[in-house]
Amino acid sequence: MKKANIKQLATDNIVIMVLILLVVGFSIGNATFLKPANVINLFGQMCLNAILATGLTYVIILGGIDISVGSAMAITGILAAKAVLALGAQSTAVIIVIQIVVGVAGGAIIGLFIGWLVAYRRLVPMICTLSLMQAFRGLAYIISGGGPVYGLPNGFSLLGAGRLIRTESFKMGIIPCIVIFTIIVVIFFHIILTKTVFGRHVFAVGSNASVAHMCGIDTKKVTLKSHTICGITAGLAGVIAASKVNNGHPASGDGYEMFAIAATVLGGTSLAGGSGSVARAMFGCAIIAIINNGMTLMEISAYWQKVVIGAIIILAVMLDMAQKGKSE
Amino acid sequence: MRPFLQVKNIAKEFPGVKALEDISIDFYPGECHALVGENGAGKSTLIKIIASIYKPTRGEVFLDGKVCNFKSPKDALDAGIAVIAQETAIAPHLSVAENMYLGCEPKKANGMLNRKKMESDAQEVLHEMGLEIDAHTLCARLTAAQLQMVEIAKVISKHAKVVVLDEPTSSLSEKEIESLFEQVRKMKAADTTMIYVTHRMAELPVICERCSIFRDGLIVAEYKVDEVSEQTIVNSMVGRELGAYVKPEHTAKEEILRVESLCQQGVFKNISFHANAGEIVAFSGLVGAGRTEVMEAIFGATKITSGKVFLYGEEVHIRNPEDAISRKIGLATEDRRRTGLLLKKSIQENIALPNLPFHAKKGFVNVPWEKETSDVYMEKLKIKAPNIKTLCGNLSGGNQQKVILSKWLAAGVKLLILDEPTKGIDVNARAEFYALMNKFVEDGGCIVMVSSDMPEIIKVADRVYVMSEGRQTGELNRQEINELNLISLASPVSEESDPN
Repeated sequence: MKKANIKQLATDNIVIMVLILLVVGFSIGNATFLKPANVINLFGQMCLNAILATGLTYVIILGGIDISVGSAMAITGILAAKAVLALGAQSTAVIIVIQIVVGVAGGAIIGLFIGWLVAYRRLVPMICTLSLMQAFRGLAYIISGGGPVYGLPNGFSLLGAGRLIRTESFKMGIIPCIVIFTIIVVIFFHIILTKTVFGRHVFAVGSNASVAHMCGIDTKKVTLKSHTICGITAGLAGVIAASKVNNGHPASGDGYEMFAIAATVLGGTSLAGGSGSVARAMFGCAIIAIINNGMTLMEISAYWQKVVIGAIIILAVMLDMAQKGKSE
Repeated sequence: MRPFLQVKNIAKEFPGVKALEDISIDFYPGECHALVGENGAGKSTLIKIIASIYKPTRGEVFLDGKVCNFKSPKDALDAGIAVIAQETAIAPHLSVAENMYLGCEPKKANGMLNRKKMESDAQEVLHEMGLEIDAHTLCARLTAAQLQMVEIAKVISKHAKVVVLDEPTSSLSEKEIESLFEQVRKMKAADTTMIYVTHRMAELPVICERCSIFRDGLIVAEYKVDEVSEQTIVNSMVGRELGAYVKPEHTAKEEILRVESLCQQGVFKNISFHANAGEIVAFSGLVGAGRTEVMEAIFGATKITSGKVFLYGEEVHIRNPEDAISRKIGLATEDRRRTGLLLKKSIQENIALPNLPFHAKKGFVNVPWEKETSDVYMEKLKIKAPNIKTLCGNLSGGNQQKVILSKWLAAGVKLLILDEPTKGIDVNARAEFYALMNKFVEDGGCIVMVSSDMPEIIKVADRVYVMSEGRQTGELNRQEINELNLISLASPVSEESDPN
């Protein structure tokens, strides 16, 4: 009995064990890996993915998917840049308000549209968002006029690239603003998912939509809301990504959907729906960030990094399938 | 004449259930042998044993005097035993010819599909049957009756020696039935051994030579059809011992539910009934009579075409289950695993699920309430599980049903609709569940129960409505509830005696 418990504990927490293994491995393999400067870097690098994975977790728990999040990022990034320019905002506070409003509102509109297509027009999420991935990318190029939106005031980059608490050894600052922002977003949506009635309904619909329906849950509304949340996080990620490079780029977020899906799945969220966690998806984000960062430090080519990330996703899904096979 | 197919001393046991006990039947070539009996009497189990889908626990099947040692349904099919199931097994996106030769397609010398031969062979069989169906047609374009004909053509093309028809006429019109019978007669003339499962007594003298009557996994009688009357057959089907169970006296109080001429296009028609506080009202009938659909419509899970629903004498429009639940109606569905419970979630989460919004604080789940309520019902209903965190998928059928009951009791429902509440539940758990049902109505609740299990209806129902083929065929009060009445009202009526 005890042995079975340990085994269960190990399979439940395999993602954390992999994480520890990676940290130990890279710190032995490369001296700079655990240096404070690199650790700060590392946290900064996983933020965009963490925000994306947060909303995506909702949709994946429902048994759906959204692969248009990367393209949606580009749209809100460009819109935020254009809005700041159009309003001629100079004060940093105003700029941040504009960024957040555009991220949330733009993302929500995109998410509502996807949710409407999936819930009320019964489109298969995969096909629906695959098409929208293309359409949104095209739109991003159209509204940006084909190239990046430049000429933004300095305040635009604070959220994505600024750091707080400057010291002698860290002239740039210790804590990246992006990390604080990400923590707020993640905790907020984690609480919504785990503590509210709506969150419980997301799990119920993902587990078995007919049961949920027969228990008086409006399954369509739950789907619509979940996609809206996914849209909002994609929108925020887009704004932050633009802030990071201080321009609105139509190619922004390209391929990010894969990393976000990978992080969510690595975090134990089942692609079949019904179970998952925002908090655990963060471990997935950490694994991906560490692999990328560690391999870069060890001067492994970016091409190999792609291969390794792909292989890890496959392993994660295989693990998910094996778990399921056991329970059936 | 020598029997072509024989089953000898067949018994089949499933965990906890004896489906068949010592069945022996001889089937003769060129004859049509009917199997009749209530739902669950064992007809389908026997057919599955003949088709080698199930292995019998005891006993043997003989084909042409030799013992059959089939390992799979394919072996039985290769030996010439073909079953045409109630639901047609046709791939809708393939053509008629492709369906007929599915799995045994003619090939050319080089191993490629010989489409020309397949299509001309198929057309020839169809032509011989006197059918005007083009072998190239996609099956999705055919009617239910035509599909049934394609299945028969498939069987004929395989030169099957034994053909089993499982309720083939249940979805056919009178005219289509006649052409089906024509094919049956042709097959009989070709010395095929026919086995025919049906609920329609009137069909027996038309098409069958012999019939075996099943009851509770036993054969209670075997007749030559032309020597007995329909009444004799029905009488043989009924008459089960009920034991010394005393049905509690309920006193019906105020009316809770009244339904007036409820219709759903193509599903059910003109359903009118009422149910009072303090009584258990049952809906009896054969599987597929439309009872489940009526209940789902009342619960708002599906839309009605016309008709009125009254709660406490006031007309209501229940648009969705959410609406129904807020009006204190609960529905325990027939299929617990598919539509009743979240199997991978805990007892606590399942009991709380329909009740979360009513106890939430500003949208947040009221966890203390949730835990307390689950503990209370676990104790009250004696749900056997380690604790409220146990996953529902790990519970027995009886305990799962108790969790479902708990969630509706926790919702404070006044009207509880139970669809086949004791299906797949063992005897002891049933008795326990009946006691819970009695408690609920004694406390002023009202139960509307759908059941295909006649002894169950006789045991627990205060009043019974019977449905057949989407129509209400009668109402029985306490004194009139017996198997004979239930069977005669549930049997599908033939077209000419139908007032509609």
